[in-house]
Amino acid sequence: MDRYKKITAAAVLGFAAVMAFGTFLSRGKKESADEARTLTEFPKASLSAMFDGSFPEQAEKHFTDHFMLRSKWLSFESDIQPRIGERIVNGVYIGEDRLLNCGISDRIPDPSAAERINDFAAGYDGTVYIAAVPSSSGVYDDELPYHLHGDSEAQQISGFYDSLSGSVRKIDAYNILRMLRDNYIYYRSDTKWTSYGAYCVYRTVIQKLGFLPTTYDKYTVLHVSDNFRGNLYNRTLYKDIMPDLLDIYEYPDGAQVTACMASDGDGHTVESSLYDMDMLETSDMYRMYLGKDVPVLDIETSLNNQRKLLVIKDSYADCFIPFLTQHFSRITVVSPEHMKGVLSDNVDVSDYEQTLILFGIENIGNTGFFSGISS
Amino acid sequence: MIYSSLLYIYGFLPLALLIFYAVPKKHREAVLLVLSGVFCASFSLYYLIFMAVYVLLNYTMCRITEYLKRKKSIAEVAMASTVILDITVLFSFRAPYMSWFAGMIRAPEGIYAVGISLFTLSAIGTLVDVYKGNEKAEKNIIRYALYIMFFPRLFIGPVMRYSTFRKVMAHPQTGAAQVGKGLAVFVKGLAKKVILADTLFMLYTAVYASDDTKVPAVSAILGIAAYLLGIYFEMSGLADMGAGTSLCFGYRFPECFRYPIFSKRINYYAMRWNTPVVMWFKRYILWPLTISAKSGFARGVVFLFAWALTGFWYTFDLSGVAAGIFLGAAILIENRLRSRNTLRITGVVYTLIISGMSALIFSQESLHGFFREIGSLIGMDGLADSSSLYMLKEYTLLLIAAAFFSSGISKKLAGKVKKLKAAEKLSLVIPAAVLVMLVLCTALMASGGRSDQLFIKL
Repeated sequence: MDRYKKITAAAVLGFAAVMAFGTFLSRGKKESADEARTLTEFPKASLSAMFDGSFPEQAEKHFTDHFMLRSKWLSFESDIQPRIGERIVNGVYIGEDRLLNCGISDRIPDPSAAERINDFAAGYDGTVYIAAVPSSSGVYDDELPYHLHGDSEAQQISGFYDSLSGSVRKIDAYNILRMLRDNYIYYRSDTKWTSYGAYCVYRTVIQKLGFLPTTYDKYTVLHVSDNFRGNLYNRTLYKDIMPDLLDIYEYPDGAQVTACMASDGDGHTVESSLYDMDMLETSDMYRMYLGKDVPVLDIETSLNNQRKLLVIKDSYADCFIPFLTQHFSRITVVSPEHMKGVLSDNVDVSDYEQTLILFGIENIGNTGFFSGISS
Repeated sequence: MIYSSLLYIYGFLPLALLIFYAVPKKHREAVLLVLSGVFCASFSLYYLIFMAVYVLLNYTMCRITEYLKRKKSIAEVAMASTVILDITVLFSFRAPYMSWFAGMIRAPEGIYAVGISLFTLSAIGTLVDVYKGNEKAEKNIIRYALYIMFFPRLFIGPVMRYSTFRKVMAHPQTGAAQVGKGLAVFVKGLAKKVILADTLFMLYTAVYASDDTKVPAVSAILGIAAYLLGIYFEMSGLADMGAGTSLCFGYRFPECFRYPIFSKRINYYAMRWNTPVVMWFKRYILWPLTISAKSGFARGVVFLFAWALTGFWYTFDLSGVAAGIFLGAAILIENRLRSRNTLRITGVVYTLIISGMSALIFSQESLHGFFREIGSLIGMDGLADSSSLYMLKEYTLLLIAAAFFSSGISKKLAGKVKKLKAAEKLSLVIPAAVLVMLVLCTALMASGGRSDQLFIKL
């Protein structure tokens, strides 16, 4: 009977040795394309880091991140875990036909963020509009199992709106999207809305800003990719959800973008565009909208109405901005996440009679996001 | 580092085996100590220093206690003061109200002395035995250090007397076959933890996580079943992983869990659940006190006290005490009432009910919570709702599998297969099964790289 024991030893240790060796070989890898993230570096050894345990902790993370064939293992995990009754992998709920983020309930709207916006509005001559966009798990929360329902995103948004001053015009994106939930308004594998979702909210936003929305039939919709996998896919590598479409809404007879300049906050500007097709070849296809992250993007259009708009946004707005080009002669887009210093260092706010603050629910509890808006 | 982590399975363990078997036999215990030191340092350097001091202190005090044996009263002071110190250190890490002491011994924020509940019992037991003259104080400090901090025993033990430990350490059985067996046991434990316990924890949180306090009866039953089975698989999985690792190095320690869940008597259930710990409390608390108890009533009180203490050892709060007293009282009543020839099935059913109840008390933070749970169980919040049905649909298969593997039937079946003529050929399935299990568990740990303790931290 000893024979099978020896074979077990050889099989298990052989397998472990191969995995260990493969992990050792891949230790220098910096980024994971599949997961679209930077991998944990091997920690710098120091006595204090050893003493309080942060060194071994990070070393273990490094090992896990560089584990041989990690992407394959992760994909395998997402595949088998739902079969044994556990549908949450890496904080992502694997549903019948979409992936949903599970960390909804632990996000608390940040009161100091609201104060920042109030301060900004108080020192600003024009009108401030705000739209907080729910994530897919907010709009489709009934597809999550009952015990994951926390404070709904609708409550979070309305709580946030309540703490804003009356002069800020609030746009109820949640209910618009909720009503249209049977349409393709959210990606199946990402937390963000699709271009169509953005268009539906645009119709309301632009009316508040004082324009008539461009009707849907005027657009030519181009499916530039039918193989988009979003951030929820990156966290699970779950293959059985249909890949998403990335769309571009073109309006051939409408106003055209005449100049699009990206500045890095240090005074350097480079030419940019609304769509960066090269990004479709990378693993982060969503960046096709507006291209690489920049602090400030200046868009000029062929319109000559002297209307200027300042947009303060996060990545949710990337597919939203193109719709605005039909109404303004100049749009300046600021990303607080990538901006250096405060807002007034980057743009002259008094140039704009209207400001739109458009961001995703993820940033509602994010102190850092709004901290640079008012000085 | 924990056993159920990629770093342990694909890094530490293979490397440890390689080093261990490359070194001549006479140095192997020293190698194991160095490896245990590295294992401790993988939590933090503080923990390693703490362990070194702890070992040195207890080793020295054992020797001193023995040296002073003639002068009983001084020996008593030496023994008692060390026991008190050990208990204070234990409290300072486990009880939040004593954390000021952990601050006093300079523990960095968030550092926990892993396995302190276990090795405190070992250290105190040995001190008492040496004091009583039942045990000789160990002269070999390497071996004593291994007694306290041998890494396969760190998380769950087994707690044992020093003489037992000495016997096991004296005759290691090393070799490829032994490693194979050990790895098979390890993977079995890993599967218990990663496949069963972790998923059962999800069911448990699914029942109790929502803010809504109304839990319909079906959900409540699922929740208790998940808790009882989950805590069993988590602890016995840990015990198997530890035992498997020990086997790889040639040491076979006593078993901790012997299929308690489907016992036919409460007494058996209690004795089969972490046997070494129950035995420790019997040997060092219950028996000495029972001898001094004069009346039957006093013996009953002592019995309940010993169980209360055992329960307290798990949680360090009142829920453990209550669960311990409940279980102890159930055993007392059973010993009085139970005639020998009850049907097996009746025994199993009432044992399940009692053990479920004690698990329920154990899991609650307050008496109020306990009564609310009882209310849920008898249907005060309704029979079932849509989420109960969802959980029933998603988890029934898992619960059946968990119940099957906790019942011991699988072991009996394996025993029968071994007697078959074709057993030799059939046994070749085992390596394949072990490897498949390992691959599955690795995949299930892929995203986080580890599977942490979810139900209980000792």
